[in-house]
Amino acid sequence: MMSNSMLRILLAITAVLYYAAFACSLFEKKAKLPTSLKYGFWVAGAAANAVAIVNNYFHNGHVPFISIFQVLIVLGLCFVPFYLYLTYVCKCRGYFPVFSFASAIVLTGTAFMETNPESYYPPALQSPFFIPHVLVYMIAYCLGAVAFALVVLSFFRKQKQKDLERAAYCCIRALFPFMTCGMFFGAIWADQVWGDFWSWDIKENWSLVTWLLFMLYLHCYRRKLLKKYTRILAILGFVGIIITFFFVNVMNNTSSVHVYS
Amino acid sequence: MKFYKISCWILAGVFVVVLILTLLSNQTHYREASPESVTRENCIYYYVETEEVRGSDGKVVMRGGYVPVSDYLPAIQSINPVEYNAIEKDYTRMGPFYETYLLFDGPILYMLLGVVAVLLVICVCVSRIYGTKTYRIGFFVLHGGLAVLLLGFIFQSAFSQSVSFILNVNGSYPSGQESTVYTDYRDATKRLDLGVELSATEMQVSTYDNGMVKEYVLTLETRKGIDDNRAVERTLRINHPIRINGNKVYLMSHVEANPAAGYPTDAVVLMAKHNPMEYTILFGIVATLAGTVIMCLFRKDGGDNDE
Repeated sequence: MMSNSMLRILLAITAVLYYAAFACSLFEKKAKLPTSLKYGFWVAGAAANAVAIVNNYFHNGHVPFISIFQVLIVLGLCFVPFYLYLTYVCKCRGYFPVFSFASAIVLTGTAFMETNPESYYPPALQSPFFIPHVLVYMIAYCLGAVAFALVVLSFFRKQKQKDLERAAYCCIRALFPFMTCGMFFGAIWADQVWGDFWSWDIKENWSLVTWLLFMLYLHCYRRKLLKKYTRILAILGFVGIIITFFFVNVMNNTSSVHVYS
Repeated sequence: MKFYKISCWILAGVFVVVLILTLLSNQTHYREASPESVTRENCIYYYVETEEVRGSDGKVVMRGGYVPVSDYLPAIQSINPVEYNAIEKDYTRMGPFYETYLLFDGPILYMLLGVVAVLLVICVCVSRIYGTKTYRIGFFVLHGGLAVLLLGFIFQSAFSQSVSFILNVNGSYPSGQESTVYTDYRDATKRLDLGVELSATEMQVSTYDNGMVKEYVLTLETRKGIDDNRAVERTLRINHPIRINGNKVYLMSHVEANPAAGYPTDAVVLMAKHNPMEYTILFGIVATLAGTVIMCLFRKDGGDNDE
């Protein structure tokens, strides 16, 4: 187990390694760098990230998810399998910069957070569903953001439009099970704590609207007649994510049962 | 076949639009309970945000915060309606003292959900799905599970019963309730027979170093009736409801004793719920989840669905 300052240094190194991988992939062609360089940085970053997760595991004595800080560290590593999935399962090549940059951003965020904040959870949040509920939603939202970026790019780069759309589709296809998981974990948890699977809370409603939009996207994607609407649906889905994630909290809606989040 | 497809899509489209509009309007609202309906039996505290409330003579009649109802009622009777409306009251933090209602949680919503469930069943029956075998199984599991989930949700609204009631934490029977039938403290028409009498014997509140509440542990005693000498002790915590004769009992809220205001013991708000659709909904959730994962993972590339 590391001390707090050592953990902080490790996180900083991880972020720098991810940034290095990102920079290498950007200037690969211009500077004639070997391909193995970016992968080298990336694997080193992922290894450092994994060490941080293992350290958190031993710090807690159980799953490394007790605070948002720890969840973000796990999230940084989550982009690695997503990239592999997009590249080798969906065969969408050329998105290395997007994913290495996403990991770097997340790890940069953790470097500025309290390393081991005391967790003062009120009784309602002390549930085995709390962390899975938050983690899968975070993963889903990150994938939604990546898909949004790809869709927006597809409007400007006409010659790559098909590839970009397909990559966005792959992201949303990966996002959808996570979003469904998050919603249903929330429903089961709500039955444990409030005695109802669905309580028409404003955040719940907006998450359902977001889910429905992505559902429409997936239904439209493979129909010739409806495919032209997919890009706008992906954008609307991201707007839904933003409203669910930020807007509901910003409105200072004390009647929401999600005031903690 | 073409006509069938088009009508299906139109129905689905109309549904989604209406559902989205519904969701936008369907929020829990907090309504002020009228002062007359506030009695010692149904209310313990009232949260008032305005710092000081002054009567018509300029004297402070009430200070903000959690005001015991025994202080609140005389205070609001001594001020005029204009001042009353100017008081910032927060009904969301009053513990057991708010009423909720939904704008659209009525027959129309459940009819819509029924339409979707029927559409899903039709979709499962007539659709020809292209793709691998696993993918097709995923399709049936997902859409069938969603139909089960929606039907469970519709029937839940019709058949489930829940009551919230207040118990004093002093080990007394029968805690103001008539035998084993518990009556909702906000709505006397809602009643539920638990089959046992409940008595709250002890409430342990543990806190963190900074004073925030860490855990509420309520010790409950249940007995089958006045002749039952073998009372059973149960522990109830937030997030861990217990089952009593097929009903789930939840710990919802806790109010500390305030002897000065005429409340000598702690009180707890419990909720008991009888939901015959619980396992149907859980089954629907698991099936939908499994189907979604299968469909999203085992999708072969290429090909349109309407080829």
